[in-house]
Amino acid sequence: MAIKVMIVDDSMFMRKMLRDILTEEGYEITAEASDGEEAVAKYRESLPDLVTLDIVMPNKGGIEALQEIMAYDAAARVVMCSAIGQEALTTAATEAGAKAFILKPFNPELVTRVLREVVQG
Amino acid sequence: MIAERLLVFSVGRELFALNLTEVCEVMEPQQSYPFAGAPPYYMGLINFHGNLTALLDFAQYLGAGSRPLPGKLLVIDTKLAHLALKVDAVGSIIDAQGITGATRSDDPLIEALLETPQGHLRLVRLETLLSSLEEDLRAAAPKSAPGGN
Amino acid sequence: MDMSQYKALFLSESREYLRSIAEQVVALEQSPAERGAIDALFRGAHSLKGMAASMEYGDVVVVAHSMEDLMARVRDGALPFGAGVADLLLEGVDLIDALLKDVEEERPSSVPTDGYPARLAAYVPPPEKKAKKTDEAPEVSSPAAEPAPAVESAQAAESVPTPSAETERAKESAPELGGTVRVKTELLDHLINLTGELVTNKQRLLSIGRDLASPALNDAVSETSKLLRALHDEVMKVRLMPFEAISDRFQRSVRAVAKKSGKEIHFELTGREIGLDRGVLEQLVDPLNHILRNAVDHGIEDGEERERAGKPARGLVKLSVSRDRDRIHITVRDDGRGMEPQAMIDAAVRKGLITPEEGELLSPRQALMLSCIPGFSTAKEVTDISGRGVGMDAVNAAIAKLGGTLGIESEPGQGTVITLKLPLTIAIIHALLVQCGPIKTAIPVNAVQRTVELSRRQIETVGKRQMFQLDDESIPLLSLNRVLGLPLGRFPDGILPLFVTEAKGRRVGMVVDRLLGQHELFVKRLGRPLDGVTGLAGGATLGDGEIVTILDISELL
Repeated sequence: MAIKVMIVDDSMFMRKMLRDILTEEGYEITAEASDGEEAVAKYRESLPDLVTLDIVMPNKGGIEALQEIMAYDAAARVVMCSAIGQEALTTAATEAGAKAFILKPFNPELVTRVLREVVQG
Repeated sequence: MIAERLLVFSVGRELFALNLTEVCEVMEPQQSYPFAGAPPYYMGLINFHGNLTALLDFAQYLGAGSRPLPGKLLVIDTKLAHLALKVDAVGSIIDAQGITGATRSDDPLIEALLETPQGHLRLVRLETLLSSLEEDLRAAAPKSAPGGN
Repeated sequence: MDMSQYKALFLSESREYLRSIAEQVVALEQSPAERGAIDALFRGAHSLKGMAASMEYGDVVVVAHSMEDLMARVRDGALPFGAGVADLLLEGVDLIDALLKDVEEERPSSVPTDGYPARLAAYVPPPEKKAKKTDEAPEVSSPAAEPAPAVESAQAAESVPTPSAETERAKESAPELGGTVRVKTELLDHLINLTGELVTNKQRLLSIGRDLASPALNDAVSETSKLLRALHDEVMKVRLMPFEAISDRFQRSVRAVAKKSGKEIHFELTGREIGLDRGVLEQLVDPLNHILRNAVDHGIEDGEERERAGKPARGLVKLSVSRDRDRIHITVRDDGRGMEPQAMIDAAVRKGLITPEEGELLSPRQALMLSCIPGFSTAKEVTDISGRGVGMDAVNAAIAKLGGTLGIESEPGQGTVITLKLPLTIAIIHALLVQCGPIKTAIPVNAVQRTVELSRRQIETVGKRQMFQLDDESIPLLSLNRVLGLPLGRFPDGILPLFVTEAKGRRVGMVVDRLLGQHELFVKRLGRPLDGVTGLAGGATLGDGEIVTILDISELL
């Protein structure tokens, strides 16, 4: 069965790009959210196997959303997406339970490799 | 540059050609509706698949006088203009490879004079035709009547 | 990865970010401590940078990155948000906008971005005292400088909600999954075209039904006709866009003019959520900009003059949009010096646009409309006296072209209100059909005040002019045939059909051969070469397949 993924990013462009990369790799995109609040709510609804979570977003940033998702489901597998310049936030994210990071702009090979590693534990 | 395929048509005794990609349909004459404010070589407006299209009597535009023949209508690609040319007859589509010679023309409307097995063709420069039509329309625009009226 | 497939999405989303950034900047100038707006600005620049990096548009990345860094300094409290920062950010918005145009047209970037990042990185705010003089004084609404009366600030809070990126994002969230799709404008236009064709075809079916006298067919056609009406309404709704799609430009242009003329202006905007047809919106930008600029430049007095008149030093310019059934009302209200009808008349007479006798006949309302006569407004001394006028003729013509009307009300010393009334959509209009010689043509009803059938005996000849009396006003007669270069009508029964329209601020009777009644027309563009011909606003197909042109009377006269 395909692995269910939720994509969280405030930019439609970024979501679409990521969706295309992941669909190509056989993942199933079951939810998308455009801000942190929506991400938390949709996580509860759709219980995805994997989440890609942007850091800089309106209505609750990525770090805060990550904390809430982890509080709800300690087994959540969340991969943070961040752009250059946000390195300072990566420590906070790791502490909050993020499994990995992918850097924007997305490199398809890198993205799929990181996600595969996360899925395989 | 000369396009790969040309549509040959005639007006009076002259043969003309248009880049085939600039023409989207050859039609039988159909009813046109006159409108005001344009030079007399406009026959009116026709409905081409919902596009209101100006019908130009090409012979009259060239100064050759209106032709008695029913003729054909060349509808210009609707992405380029809403314009149809009434011509005498439409000949064949020729391949650019069939062109045996080309010379420049002094007439800005004519891109080149082509030698082909069908004879001498005048290749019409569509953009020049459109912009000179627009210029003529601006010149023909009704001026506000002088004070007394 | 082939990135070209993402280009369109990149462009449209980037432009939304730019628009939102520009709005935030102007909003922040009104309330510089607004935390949400500061964060949103930072995020906007950040997202832009990320998207551009994915597309490998290096120039955009560099500019967005410097904007992001500058906003990070503001966010972290290292830099206060002032006019200097606002200027730099707006400059960045313009830079990126130009870069996006290059990207769209697939040409190498034509704007140099070097220097911009360095200026941002090195930016330090001018020292407090100096800032007061050079930067803040002319700024749009600096609340600290002039404590506004409570009522006014309450209004401001209500009417200029911080256009937070939150609402922006919320609106476009969950695109495909949530049931929203983006549609290309061309596709929409095509859909509307097809709907219009169906409406025309229905008319044909109706007349066939009448010929056949088949009740069953008539029933079916009338049912179809109801469905078509519904389809048309739905399709037209798709074209509606909120006014805010263009409103950020107005905030910016008011800000710019205020700054240039050294005036303090409080700008209010209400009705940003009101939907208008895309086509109408696009055509509104220039006219509204003009009206607003006039209001700031000529309407609002300078601070000292205002204080002498007992007004707050800060002028108020208010743009409001509202909907009244199928019409949109847009008003621009200022509390400036207003317009003096007599001064307008005197100026028009001096310019030779009207005779002193004509001037005496004008009502105050008509006198104010003199500002819309071509030639009235170009003279500097006129605009200074009237407090209005630059380019108002062009504004009036543009509004008429959209099927709208422009009205001016003014109270000397109290201010001016300019009201635009526009149709919700432009594709379907009501028009008066007339016959002139061999042709049928249509005049939008918004340009027709009334129709009259005049007996020859009612015509008076004054000098070389033919006039007739209507509502105690002497109205000159013109022949539409003559204006259109057509043979003149004969009127053997001595009755002249005419419609009354307004040209250059006064009423004119346009004589035609026959009045053929009012019709609902689906307006189509004429395309090249007829597009843009003076006096032609478009064309339409009648129920029987006949094609008529739609005239723009104000352009013809």
